[in-house]
Amino acid sequence: MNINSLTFLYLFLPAALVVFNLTPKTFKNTVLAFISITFLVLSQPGNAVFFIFDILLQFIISEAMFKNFEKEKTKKFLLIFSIIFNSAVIIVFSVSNQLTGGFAPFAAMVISFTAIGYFVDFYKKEAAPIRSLPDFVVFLAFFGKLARGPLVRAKDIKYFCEDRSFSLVETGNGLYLFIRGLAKYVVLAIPLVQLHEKLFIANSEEISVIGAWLDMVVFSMMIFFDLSGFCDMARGLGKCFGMDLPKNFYFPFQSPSVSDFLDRFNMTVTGFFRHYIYDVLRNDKNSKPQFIVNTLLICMLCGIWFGIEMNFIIWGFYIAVFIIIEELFLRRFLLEIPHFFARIYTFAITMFSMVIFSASGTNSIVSSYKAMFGINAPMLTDSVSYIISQNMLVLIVGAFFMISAFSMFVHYLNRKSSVLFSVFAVVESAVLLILITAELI
Amino acid sequence: MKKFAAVLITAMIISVSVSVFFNVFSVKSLPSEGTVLEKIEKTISLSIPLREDLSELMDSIRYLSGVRRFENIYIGSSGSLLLDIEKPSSRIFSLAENYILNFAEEKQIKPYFMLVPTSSAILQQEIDTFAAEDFYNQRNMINNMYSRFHGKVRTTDIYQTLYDHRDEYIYYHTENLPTSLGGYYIYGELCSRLGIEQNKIDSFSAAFVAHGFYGNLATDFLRPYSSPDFISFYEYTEEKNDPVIEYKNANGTSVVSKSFFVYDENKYTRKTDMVLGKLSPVIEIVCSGNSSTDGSILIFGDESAKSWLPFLATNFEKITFVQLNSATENLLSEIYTENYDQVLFAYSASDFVLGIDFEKLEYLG
Repeated sequence: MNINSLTFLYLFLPAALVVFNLTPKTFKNTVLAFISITFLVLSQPGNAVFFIFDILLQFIISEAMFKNFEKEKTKKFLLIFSIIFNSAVIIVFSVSNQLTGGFAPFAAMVISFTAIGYFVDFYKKEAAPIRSLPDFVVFLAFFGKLARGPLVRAKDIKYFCEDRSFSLVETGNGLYLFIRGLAKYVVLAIPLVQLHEKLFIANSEEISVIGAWLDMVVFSMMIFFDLSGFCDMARGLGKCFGMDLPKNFYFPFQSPSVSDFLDRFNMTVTGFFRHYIYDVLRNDKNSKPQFIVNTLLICMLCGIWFGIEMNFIIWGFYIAVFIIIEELFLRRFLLEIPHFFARIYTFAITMFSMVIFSASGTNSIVSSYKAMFGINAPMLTDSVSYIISQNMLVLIVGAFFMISAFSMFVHYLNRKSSVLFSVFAVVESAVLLILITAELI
Repeated sequence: MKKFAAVLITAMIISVSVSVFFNVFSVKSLPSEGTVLEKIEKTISLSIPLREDLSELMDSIRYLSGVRRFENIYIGSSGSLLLDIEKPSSRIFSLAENYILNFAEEKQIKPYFMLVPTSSAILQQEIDTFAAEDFYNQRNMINNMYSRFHGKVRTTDIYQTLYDHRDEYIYYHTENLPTSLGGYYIYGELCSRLGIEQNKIDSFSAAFVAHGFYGNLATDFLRPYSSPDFISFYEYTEEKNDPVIEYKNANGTSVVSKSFFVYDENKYTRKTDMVLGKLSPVIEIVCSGNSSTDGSILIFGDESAKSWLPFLATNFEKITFVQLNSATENLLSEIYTENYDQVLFAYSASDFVLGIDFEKLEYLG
């Protein structure tokens, strides 16, 4: 069962909401932990036993760390062990998925990265230990965030483990956000995946200038709607179950600089690496060479989040290079030029980065770039013109929702009149629910 | 967000869930394949209220955005619904080859074999340039099958003939069948292959009936985008033919008729059944009144024969038509190959790839 299935939408979610809200406040986290484990078992039947063992082991380490908190050596050993264990889980899952041709194992990523963050914060006394197993399960593996994140920092624990009172308005807000996220994924990301696959086949046969450019734009839209859709769903589900999950995407393709792009694209992951690695490596002198090395490391780790593959590492390197150039040479220039031109610059750089992100090998990166600039490639092929004619609607709608115009309109409506916003939210939810259901049946 | 909005949004999901819960009990055939979760997903999908309407709504949006292919049906530029055939497994070819060659060897005959391409392979002017590549290549498939017979079976290639007449009404717009006119061109090729004289088209008087009907490809959603059809009957008028057609059913009963055609448009819901009815498993046709009819032929075929069988009946004194997939052992045991001068296997490409029960050839008398 996926979070984007009819079973989840019309069976699991309503049942979970009813059970959760009928449960007395004291047991809400226990019930939510049970719901999360049930979801884990249903969504990852092959790995469920491992994940349950994984979570239990992390809890045992946490308890051991708590009981030996005054013993520095034991505490340090437990921290190192947990980091090695979780890193091993990430590597094993990434490599095995790569070998079997699967997609990045996000549930393993989310659980392991969250655990590493927790143990580091706990060790540094930046976060309180979680002593209750249900609380620990909810913090580490709340079912809403298992699909793609967002990553949650240990300092936000209280959002997870306390004050679970029922609020109809919050449930409504949560469902509204969930429906919007689900629509992003089902109505836009899935058709864009199919479109990308068709373009990939057409470009493999004969790559054209427009085919190469179009594939880059389509892939960018696909990544955006996939990741931001799942994160909206997670945040929506969080609200339904009484917690505030952080934002993970904020219209990254309209950033005014590449460093800003990284702050808006998968922002909880970037924040994680920045906090746990960049800040640790940074010393007081903060020299240029150290800045360059740290930026390269952080960006490449941000790439590896999507899988341990060469193209993701190169993508991270590419982003890092532009961040370094901006920081060393372009910062003032980008601040002084009109915002619009800064956005155009960033849009072009980040779009080009998506060619690397989507590539199946270094050869395909080179051939795509060559085709985009008309080197040994026709302007347009029959196949691409046919594909465009068949997918015009998804391209237009996707392009529209990739920029913040609609989101700004909704915020404006909310500020102006909460009644008008509420009516709009109901109508929008109804329309999206119809489209989602029609797509999924 | 105001409370009323929160209530309404929550109620939307809960109300669909409750409807699904009650509809589950009225789902007629629950899915039998897949994992438990896949079965649950399918059952919920079947239980969604207004399921058909939602599906049509989505298809309409796709059509408006330029999409012309819906699952395996492509909406042609002049309203023909072109059904793409399923990619067959190589086993289908091997089975057909083995059974037919064994049959030929056992009966000491050299049968004829014909595969009729469907409209999606012939009406290429209806398909966008690149869309044609989305269709299964029937021409290659037919050539591949013919090459397997290595001269042990006489094959009939009708692809080029039909392609040359692609601008004419040779296929129904909304049924995956050739029309009678298409059937006449197939008949022409069969005559030259079988070594018999083709009766000219003006030897037949044409009657046009069932104007404006929509066939089984035209679902409620596709109907507005497709062109309606009509049926044409070609009655042989050159001389008296007096056909006697006996439809033998699987339950042992039979019905005798003296015409290939049913003029009463209300008799059949599916209008293409006005030619040769619902095509019984075995049909015996005897035409004794025509001086040009001679000899006998045993035909193993499918629905596509409706288009050309009435024409062929003007050349043979006796024709036995057999649908192997629906014929029973009893019916087949009454048919003796040695009583026929020629044997023909004739299938549409779309039926052929789904598999023909050639193993039933063993039941022949």
